[in-house]
Amino acid sequence: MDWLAHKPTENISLTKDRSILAHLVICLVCVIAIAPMLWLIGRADVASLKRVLLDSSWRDAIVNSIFLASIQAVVSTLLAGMMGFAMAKHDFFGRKIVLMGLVFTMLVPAQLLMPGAFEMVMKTGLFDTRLAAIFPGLFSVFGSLLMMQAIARVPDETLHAARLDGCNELRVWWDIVMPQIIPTTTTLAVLSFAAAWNALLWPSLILASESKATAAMWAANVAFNASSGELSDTSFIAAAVLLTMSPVLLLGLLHTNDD
Amino acid sequence: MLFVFLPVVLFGTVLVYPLLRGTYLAFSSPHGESFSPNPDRLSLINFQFLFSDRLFWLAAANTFGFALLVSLFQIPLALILAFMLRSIRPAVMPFVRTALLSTHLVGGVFVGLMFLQIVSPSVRAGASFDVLSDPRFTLLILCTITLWTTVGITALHLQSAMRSIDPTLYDSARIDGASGTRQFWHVTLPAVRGTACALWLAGIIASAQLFELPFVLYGQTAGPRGSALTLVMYLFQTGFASGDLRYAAAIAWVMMLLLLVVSVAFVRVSGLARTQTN
Repeated sequence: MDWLAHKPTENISLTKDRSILAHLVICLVCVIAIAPMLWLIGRADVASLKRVLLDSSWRDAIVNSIFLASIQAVVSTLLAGMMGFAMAKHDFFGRKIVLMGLVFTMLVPAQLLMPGAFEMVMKTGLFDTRLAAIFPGLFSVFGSLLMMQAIARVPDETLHAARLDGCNELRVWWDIVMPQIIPTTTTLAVLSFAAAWNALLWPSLILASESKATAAMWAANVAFNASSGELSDTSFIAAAVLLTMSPVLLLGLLHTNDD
Repeated sequence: MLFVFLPVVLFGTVLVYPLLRGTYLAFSSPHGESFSPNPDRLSLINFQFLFSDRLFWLAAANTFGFALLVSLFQIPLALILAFMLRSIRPAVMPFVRTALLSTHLVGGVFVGLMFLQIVSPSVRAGASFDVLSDPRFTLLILCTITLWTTVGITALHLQSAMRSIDPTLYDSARIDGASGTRQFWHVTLPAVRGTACALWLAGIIASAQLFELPFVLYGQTAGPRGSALTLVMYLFQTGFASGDLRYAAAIAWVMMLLLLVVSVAFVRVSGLARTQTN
C-alpha cells in the first residue's frame, strides 16, 4: 500500500519546467557521449571498412584477442567464484590474512606489480607466450571481493541441505552457489573480457612476435604508423579503430540490456 | 582443500610474489644483471637517484595535477547528472543508460585513438595550429577526454544509490516547502555522501594511473615539453624501454606511497571511514 501512496506525489513534484530542463540537459549529455563514435562512423566509408575486414593482420589480431579475452574472462570469473565461496562460506586457517591481503592489493596500483611480474616471466621463459600475456588478469582481486559479497547473501540452508544430500564441496559450489549468483557472474565475466580486450601495456611488453599481437596492439600500431607519416589514410584508421573497439562495446551493451 | 588452495596459490603467484619481488628490486643496488641469480646488496641508491630526478618530479606533478583537476569535476558533474536522471521519463531511460555506459566500455587505447582522429590536424583540413603540440592544452585535453569516459558511469552509480533513498524524505521536504535545489542539498546529497566519497577516492586512484590515453594521443612520447609525461608512462619508459627494472620498481613504490598519503588524507577529510555505507 505504501508504494501506491507515493506514486502520484512523485509525479506532481516534478514541476513541468524543471522536467523539461532535465530532459534537455540529459539529451545534450547523451549526444556528447555518443558524438565521438558517430564522428568515427561518419569518417569510415564502406571501402575502408571492407579493407580492414579483408586485412589478414586485423583478423589475426581479432582472433587472438577473442581467444585471450575469453580465457581470461572464464578463468578469472571461475577463480573469483571459488575464492568468494571460500571466503564467504568457509572458515579456514589464514582466512583473515588472505582477506587483508586482498583489500591491500586493491589499493596497490597495478604498475607496482609489473617489474616483479616481468622479471618472473623472463625467468620462467614465458616471454612472448599467450599465457604470460593474460597471466596477471587470471586472478581478479576486485572480482573475488565482488563474488564474496554476492555469495555471502546465498542462504546457508541451501548449502547445508545439499551437503546432507551427499554433495561434495565442488558440487555445492557449482550446482548450488553459482546458479544463485548468475547476474554477478555474467557482469564480472563481461568486465573481465573488456579489461583483457582493452589492455595495452602488459600485452605489448610480453608479446613480441607480430602474429600474437592483440586487437588493441594492432589498432595502436596502425595509428602510430599514421602519425609517423607512413600511412595517412584517415578513413582507413577510423574504420580500423571502429571495427576493433566495437566487439567489446556490443558485448557490454547486450549485457546491460538483458537486465 | 581445492577451493582455498587454487585461488590462493594463484593470488600468490600473480599478485603477492610480484609485489614482494618488486619491493626487493626497488631496494637493491643496480650492479650486475637484472636477472642474475646472485643476491644483491640492499641499498637505497634507486631512491637517492629518484629524489634528484627532475623527470620523476615532472611526472609526479603532471599526474597529480591531472588527478586533482579530474576529481574536481567528476563527482559534482555526475551528481548533478544523477539528480536530473530522477526526473527523466522511464520510457527513455534504457537509451540514456546505454549512451552513458557506452563511453565507459570503450577502453583507454580506443578512446585515445578516437580522439586522436578528431583533434589531429591532418584530419581537419586547413587547420592552422595543432592542439597536440601545444603544452598549454595538454592537461585540458587529457581532463576533458577522461571526464567524457568517467562521468556517465559515475552518474549511473550515483543514481542507483539515489534510488534507495526513502521517498517519504522528499515528501516531507516538499511539504516543508523545499525547492528542487534545496531537496538536492538537504535530502539527496547527505544520503549519497558515502557512495560519492567512495567513488571520488576510486576516481583519484584511477586517474593517478593514467597511461594509455596520453601514450596513444602523443604517439608514445611524453608530449610537448614533457607535459603529458605521467608516472606510469615514466615507469614504462625506464623499466621496459630502457630496461632498468630496479628503478621502475622504485618509481612504482614511491608512486604507491604518494597515493597512500593522498588516500589517507582524503579518508580523513571526507570522513569516509565514519559514514555508513550499505
